[in-house]
Amino acid sequence: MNFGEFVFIILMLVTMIGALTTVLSGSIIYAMLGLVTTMFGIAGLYVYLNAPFLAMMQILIYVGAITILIAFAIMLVGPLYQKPKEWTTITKFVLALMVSLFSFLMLFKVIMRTPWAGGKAKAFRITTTDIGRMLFDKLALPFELISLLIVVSIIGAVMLALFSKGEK
Amino acid sequence: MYMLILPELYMLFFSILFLFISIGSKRDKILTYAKSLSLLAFVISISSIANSGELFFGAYRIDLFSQIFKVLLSLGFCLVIFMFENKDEIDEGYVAEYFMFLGFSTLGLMMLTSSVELISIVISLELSSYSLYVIVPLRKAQGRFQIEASMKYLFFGAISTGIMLFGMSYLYGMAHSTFLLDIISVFPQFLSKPIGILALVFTLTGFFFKLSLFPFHFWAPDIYEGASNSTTTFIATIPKVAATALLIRITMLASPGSFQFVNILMVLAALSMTFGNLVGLVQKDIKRLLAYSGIAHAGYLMMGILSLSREGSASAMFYIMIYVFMNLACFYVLILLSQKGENIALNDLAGLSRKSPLLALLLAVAAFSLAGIPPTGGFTGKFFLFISAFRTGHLNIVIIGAVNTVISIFYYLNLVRMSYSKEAVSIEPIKLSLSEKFLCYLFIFLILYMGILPFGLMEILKSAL
Repeated sequence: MNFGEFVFIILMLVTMIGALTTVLSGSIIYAMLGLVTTMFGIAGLYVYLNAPFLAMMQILIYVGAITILIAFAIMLVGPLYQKPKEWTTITKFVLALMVSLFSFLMLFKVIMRTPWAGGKAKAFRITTTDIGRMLFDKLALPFELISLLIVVSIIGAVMLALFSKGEK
Repeated sequence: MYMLILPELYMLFFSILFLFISIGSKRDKILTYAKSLSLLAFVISISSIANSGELFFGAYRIDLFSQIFKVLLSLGFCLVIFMFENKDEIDEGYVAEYFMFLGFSTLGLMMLTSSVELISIVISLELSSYSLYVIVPLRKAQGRFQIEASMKYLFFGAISTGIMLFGMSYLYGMAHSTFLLDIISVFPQFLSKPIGILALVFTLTGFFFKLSLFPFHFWAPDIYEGASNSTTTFIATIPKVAATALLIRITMLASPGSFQFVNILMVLAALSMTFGNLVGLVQKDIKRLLAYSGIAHAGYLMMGILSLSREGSASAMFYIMIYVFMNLACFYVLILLSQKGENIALNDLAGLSRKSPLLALLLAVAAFSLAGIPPTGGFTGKFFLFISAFRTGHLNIVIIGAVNTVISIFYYLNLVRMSYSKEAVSIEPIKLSLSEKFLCYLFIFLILYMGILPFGLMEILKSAL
């Protein structure tokens, strides 16, 4: 085992432990902390795969912004730190396990049975500069459309907030 | 350049105009504005039907294919707004926003039919879905059904988008480009490998969801039941048009045809038809019944797409057109029948032929068309689909489709039986205004016209592919 493989295994372990904590912990605070760990692990994987821009975005958006939002929501809603009584039942747990194992095995089989180019293919690399340039020429349309999407979601959120107030 | 995307620019103008109206305090003539402006949208998209060109470095292609879909989208949008009733259950204060979101959703769908680049496709799809997630809960309180429906729609939509993005990431990995033109040049060598089929099927998931094809249908009955009548009318028709366009466009990637890929589509189509029709048999609420009928019709539509031929795609386009008209007709009857915007159950149809002969006739024509009985458009559309699947050698799916058509006749004709032969307790005639009568006659005309004289239209559709 060389150093690269060692790093990869550590990153995988961090991601997996975080994901399992998120799903299995009954307390929502622990679940959120598990989510943070997973997101850090995934960011590490991106660095490992030589995509530093993606890794930075992952940390900024998921670890920085989204979990803060979740934390705020937890604090505003009330005592969710206690484990609810009916967190899960055995049947639900077994069914969920079956579904996730089935999809994992299916994907695993498909990926293993595909002949990949392996080491022969030349590495495909996109730097941060390339991404910045593409957003302003080839991908200008989606870049502009995102602004419209954000407008729609903001107006929608404001309207729904007013709507639910009016109902009470 | 601006003339090329005039329909899209106009829809953007429409939505922003209603955004400003929603801020202002003058709200008395909104419906009149919306009706006349939506009619103008239809006229503009008709006038730009012959445009062709490419914009944004090849990410946005305008050709006859996309323009035909844009005309159909704007016609559907216009009809939904004309069918909107003031007594309907949207709160007075939110009508301007409601039209704004309908406009944004149609804009997203219009852009979807022209996008030939993966990221633009995803973002246009999300633009239309977000607007719909927001308008589903806008219904005057009838319990909390509408909130539940909206949450379900949001979650299922998010999951199917996630799966679609996962599939697209594989396509990007194969071609190192998000442009469909680049993908199509490298994709044939992956089509024989498992990963190619997986990528393609996952990418199609987002559109299967919009079309409510079998494994992605869970949202449909609850949303149809929970959303207000006019919202359901929109969700049941317009997004399916754009989903069909994208299904045709993306399955073109697999155009030489791969045995496994066609088999997967065939299994989905067969399950979808059978499931939709069998569960449809026992429904009491007509909106739920139409949801299950929509699942079955998604299966029929897939017969055209899985032929992977020009004729098959043209018949799928024809079928989605007639599907829009017959569904709008059914929903129009429901909208006019419901007094306070409540859902209509099967028993409420009793004595409809005495209350309003025109509505009963419209319902009968639409139900005959949904069941596929000549001389309606539903029959001709199904006929084209069966022929195209048969010519490409998929005899088994044709047999399953034919058996399913027979099953479905039972519950469609049940609608007609209820409205014609069952007597109601009290018969108070429903008064229709002149414009409402006109719309009813227009639907009857469209359904019969597409059934009797379909060939000219088919020629145009074939030349668009």
